[in-house]
Amino acid sequence: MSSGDTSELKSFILLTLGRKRFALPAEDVVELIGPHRAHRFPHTTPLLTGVLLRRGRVVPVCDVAKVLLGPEVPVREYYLIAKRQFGSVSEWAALPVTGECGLISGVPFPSTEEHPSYVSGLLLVGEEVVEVLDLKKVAPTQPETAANAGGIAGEARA
Amino acid sequence: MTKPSREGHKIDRRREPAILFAVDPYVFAIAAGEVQEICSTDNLAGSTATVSLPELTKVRHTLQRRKRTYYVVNASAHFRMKSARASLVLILRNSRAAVLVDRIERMAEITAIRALPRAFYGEERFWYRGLVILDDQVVPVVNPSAFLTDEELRMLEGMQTAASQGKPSEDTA
Repeated sequence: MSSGDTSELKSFILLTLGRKRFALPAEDVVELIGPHRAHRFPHTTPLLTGVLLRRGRVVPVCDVAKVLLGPEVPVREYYLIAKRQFGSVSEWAALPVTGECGLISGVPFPSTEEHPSYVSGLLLVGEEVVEVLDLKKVAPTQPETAANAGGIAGEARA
Repeated sequence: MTKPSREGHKIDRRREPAILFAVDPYVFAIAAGEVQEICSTDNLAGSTATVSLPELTKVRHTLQRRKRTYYVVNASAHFRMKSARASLVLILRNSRAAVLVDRIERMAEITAIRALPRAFYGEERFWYRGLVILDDQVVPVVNPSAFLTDEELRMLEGMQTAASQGKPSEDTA
């Protein structure tokens, strides 16, 4: 899949957003689920669009597509359930994705200064360079850092 | 009574009656014990007065009830929503706030209030006590004290006092 020291092979989940693919460390991913009912209520946290009920948990829906792709986002009907760390506590988050996900192994290349801060590395998948995402930086967990990812809008999101 | 859930969130398992009210398109729950009276806006003629604080546009009226003045908070504006077709007022029991809502959905017994997921870090952490699941629907349980904070109440009372003395208050000057 990608070159590098094979003794440092790591597993990644490839997720698809429209025509672009990204990777998340496999240990941060719980599962891929199909279309689900999202429950919405007013709030002011950027990127969150509602919550799902999954296995008895209330799972926030964190729509990272606008950060990764810009304002033109594709239709996404599936959710990748990933783990987000809040101090010592891990919490599930549902990331809307287009649908096709896969497991690959590889050794990521370091990203360059030209890449956004949320790109923690690069994987070569066939002839495609796939960005490995650092979810903490794509979707910050504190308002101070969230300003860098779009800030808090004046009107509540739901 | 408070136990952690699988995701490490606290769940308050006390049973309490709640009133489900709508501010379209959303449904909210409020502990029934926090509501003193529910009345229609049609029946409030003669008991309301207009107030205007540019910093606090969610409050536009006061309401006189049993020799007490309540500040009428538009729930739609409070939750930073656009439209409002409010037709009912919830007069709160332990507060100077009365809350304009669209309608009452029903009453329900709520048994397990889940803390908001940590991913939510905005004003909603103050607006809501948590979330309940009722008939497969996730409903936020409002925090009554969030409708009018001490600071907002101080501003409104300052404006009322200044108005009664015929001069602008410090907050509005």
